Amino acid sequence: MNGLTWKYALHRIGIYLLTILISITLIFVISRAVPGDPIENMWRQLEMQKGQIEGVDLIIDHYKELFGLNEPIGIQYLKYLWNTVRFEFGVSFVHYPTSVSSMIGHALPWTLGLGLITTLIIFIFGNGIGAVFGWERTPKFIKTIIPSSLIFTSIPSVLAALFLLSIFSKNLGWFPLAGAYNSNVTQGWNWPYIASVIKYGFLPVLSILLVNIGWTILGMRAMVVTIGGADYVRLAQAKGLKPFYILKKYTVRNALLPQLTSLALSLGGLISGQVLVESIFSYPGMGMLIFRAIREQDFNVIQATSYMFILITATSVLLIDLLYPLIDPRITHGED
Amino acid sequence: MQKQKRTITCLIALMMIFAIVLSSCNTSPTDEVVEETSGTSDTVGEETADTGTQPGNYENATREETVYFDAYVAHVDHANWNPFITDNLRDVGLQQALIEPLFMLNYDTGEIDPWLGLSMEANDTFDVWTLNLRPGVKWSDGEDFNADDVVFTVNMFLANTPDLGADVALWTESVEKINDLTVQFNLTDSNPRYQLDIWSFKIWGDRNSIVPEHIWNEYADNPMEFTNYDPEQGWPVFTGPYLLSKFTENEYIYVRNDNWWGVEAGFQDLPAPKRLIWIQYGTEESKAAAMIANDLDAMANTSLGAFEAMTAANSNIIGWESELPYGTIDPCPRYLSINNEHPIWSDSTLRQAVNLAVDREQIVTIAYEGGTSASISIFPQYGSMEQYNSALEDAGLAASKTADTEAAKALIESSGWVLNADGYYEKDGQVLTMSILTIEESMETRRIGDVVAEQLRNIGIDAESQVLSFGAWLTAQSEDGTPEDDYEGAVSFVCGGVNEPYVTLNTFGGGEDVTKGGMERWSGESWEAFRASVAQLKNLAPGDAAGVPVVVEAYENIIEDMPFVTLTQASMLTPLNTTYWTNWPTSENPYTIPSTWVQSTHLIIHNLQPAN
Repeated sequence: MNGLTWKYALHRIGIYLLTILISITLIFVISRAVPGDPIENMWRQLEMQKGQIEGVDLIIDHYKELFGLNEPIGIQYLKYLWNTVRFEFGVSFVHYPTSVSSMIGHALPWTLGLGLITTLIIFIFGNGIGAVFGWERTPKFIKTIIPSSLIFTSIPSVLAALFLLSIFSKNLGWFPLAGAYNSNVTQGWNWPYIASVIKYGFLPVLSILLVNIGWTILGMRAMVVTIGGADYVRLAQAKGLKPFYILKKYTVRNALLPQLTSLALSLGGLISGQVLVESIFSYPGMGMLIFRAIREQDFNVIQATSYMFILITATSVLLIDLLYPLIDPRITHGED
Repeated sequence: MQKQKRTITCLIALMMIFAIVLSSCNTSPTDEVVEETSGTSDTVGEETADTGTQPGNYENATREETVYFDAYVAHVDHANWNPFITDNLRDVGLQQALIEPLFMLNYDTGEIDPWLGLSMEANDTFDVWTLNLRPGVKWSDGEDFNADDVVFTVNMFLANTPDLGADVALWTESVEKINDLTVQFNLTDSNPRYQLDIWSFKIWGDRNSIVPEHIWNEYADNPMEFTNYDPEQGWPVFTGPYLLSKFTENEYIYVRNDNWWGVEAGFQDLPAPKRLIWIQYGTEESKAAAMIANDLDAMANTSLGAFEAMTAANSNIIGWESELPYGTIDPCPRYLSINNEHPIWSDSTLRQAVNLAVDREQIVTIAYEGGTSASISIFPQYGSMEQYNSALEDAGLAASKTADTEAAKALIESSGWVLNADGYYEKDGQVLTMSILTIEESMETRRIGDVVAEQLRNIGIDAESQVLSFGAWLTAQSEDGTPEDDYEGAVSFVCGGVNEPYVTLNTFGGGEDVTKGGMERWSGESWEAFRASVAQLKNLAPGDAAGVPVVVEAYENIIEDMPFVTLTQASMLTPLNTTYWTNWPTSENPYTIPSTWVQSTHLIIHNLQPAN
């Protein structure tokens, strides 16, 4: 029973760093494997949309030089690694001279807001509902609701978004079609702005929520049913403890451990699910940013946003791994 | 047991309350705007009768006083109002509400209409141009707009090439102030298109906008670093009849400047809209819903299906035409690009056969559902191009609207190809194939590609449409690999001349030091003769009647070699809403093109009238 040990912690941190290195290397390779030169594509596309640009070859060469795209690929990779670890993402190719950091700075709060609220709701309500559904004393009429929680789990969040947009925005007009807040309110810590943000974020949150909450409910329900038959729960019942007390202190507490792991792992899925949802609602978050960057072959933005996603997911998993032995003393990763 | 059930019931009740609270804000954003602004309107209305929102308070203008435009491009840095950066905010109001051009090309007449400039005249050799500015023009901060600003801006371009673009420096040797309203440009070479290409709105906007010297002079050495935004100082400062009010992540709001120079100078009255908003709705479905709900007054290019759905749901929505094709054309006709260096398609007889096999009317009917017209040449069919297109028709050089499949087959067979058992032509064991590249992001090119491939299969060419991302599509045509690996055909487009054919033709003529022309890699005797004609055109002023026979001569070489096959005019279908605003440009009232993302939107804004 050693709990968290240095050896275990260093091992997990090593895996964490290796995961990040492999991931960012893959992103570098994949973004450059797409056919075409991003600068040439951008200017040729501009020329096709806006008419002939005289001296376009000169401009293309200038920007390639400026962005270091004329350097050998190995040098580009080493510079990319060095810049990435220092969070120096450079400037956007397409939105030059805007820095990638400022683009992320604008987008990240919206995505974090959306993602954290969704994750919290899914975790709290999903596990709460799952526990209720799995508890043997829950009235049967409530248990019959279980299948309805699964309606949206098998469809992508993008379809759920289109469905909700169609019903609640286009047909009923209850929610706005696009955006993050009403332009008539002043940005800041005031109620009209907060209410506007909640209203504009409601459908995007709901789109992600409906698709993801079912799995949390099912997982929690299964854990509660399993743990409900464990010896220590039977012993508690034999001791005459109140059933709800047993649910709260014995069943749910133990059932939450695997849910915590899935919470960390689901963060990556939640964020990737957000990419298309944000683009459908024109929500100005990281999803929109990466969606557009991929279309525009904006290497620096693709690399930076993907790095942020990887970092968030990998760090969450690392934290859970490190916290596990502390949450559950039965779990040991050290030497006996 | 009872207590536990109560707890569960309470838990469920709490969840329901939470859901109700979240959904309690059940009005649309525009409803909110209307509610808030109509409140203002009511209050103001009591004091000012029907004069509407008071000057200085246009931020709260009513829906009836506001025009909502579709911001179809999503931008990233909303606080950078520098018009020269790559991701500039020109299409969300910067060039429609704030920046006025020196001159504006009229697509119908081909004339270059004056705006901030009164005239621009060249010497006989087109290498010295004199610009006369309109008197009385002022920047929005009250400073005079004059020759100093023009000279400063040109010198800034010359010192910051290619950051600010390359065209000014390519053509301008030096610039001189003659007096406050006159500027002389000394060119590096003769250029009859200097006024049109460098200093006028032609297709999208005047890239080389004049900026106020008294604000930009601090940034003359590093203009790309200047954000041109400081609300406390009233920046951005331009000459347009609107001022930037504010912006959010998806809205750009401008209010009318009642002190606009144009009124005092006798140029034009103030435009009627007191507030302009470019708003981003994302998907086409969301935009259509906003149009139907009268939350949007003008939408960017849309599909025919979406347009018909909109007009069915809201009879106030109109297009350029009142019946099919509903829209007008954009300046970039579509054509089938053919690789003239491909081992098979280097045979001009086969390219001639493809030209005969293409049924352009069928492409219009199937791919566009009637939403455009067949091309008779590679030029856009604007009124200003009429003299060239008519001359080509008179010379028998215009493309046929229908196919002649028998003649096409005869041509293929004359090159030694024989139909095989599968119904495709074959020669020396090789089947006659054509893979037609289309653009994934462009439904239009994909649909054209499918129809053309079907038409080619019908005459015995094993053709297929291949969808690629724009980058891959471009790369496939640009890269000089082995001829066998190179592309065979591609649905392409050329955005060149609007009122004269030189720029379009030069696309296929190549530059001065090239040995083949365009993506098509056209070369040979016909191409050399074509280039000679294009060189002649280069030295003629746009619209010069002497250019017409030269264009015919050039086109004879195109028809002789058929390096590409013209297909259709590009469709531009922009839904416009007459619920709050009327006098939009239409075919019956064609004062400008109906595109609200380009700089000619100034004309639309000046012409709009409130519906009530």
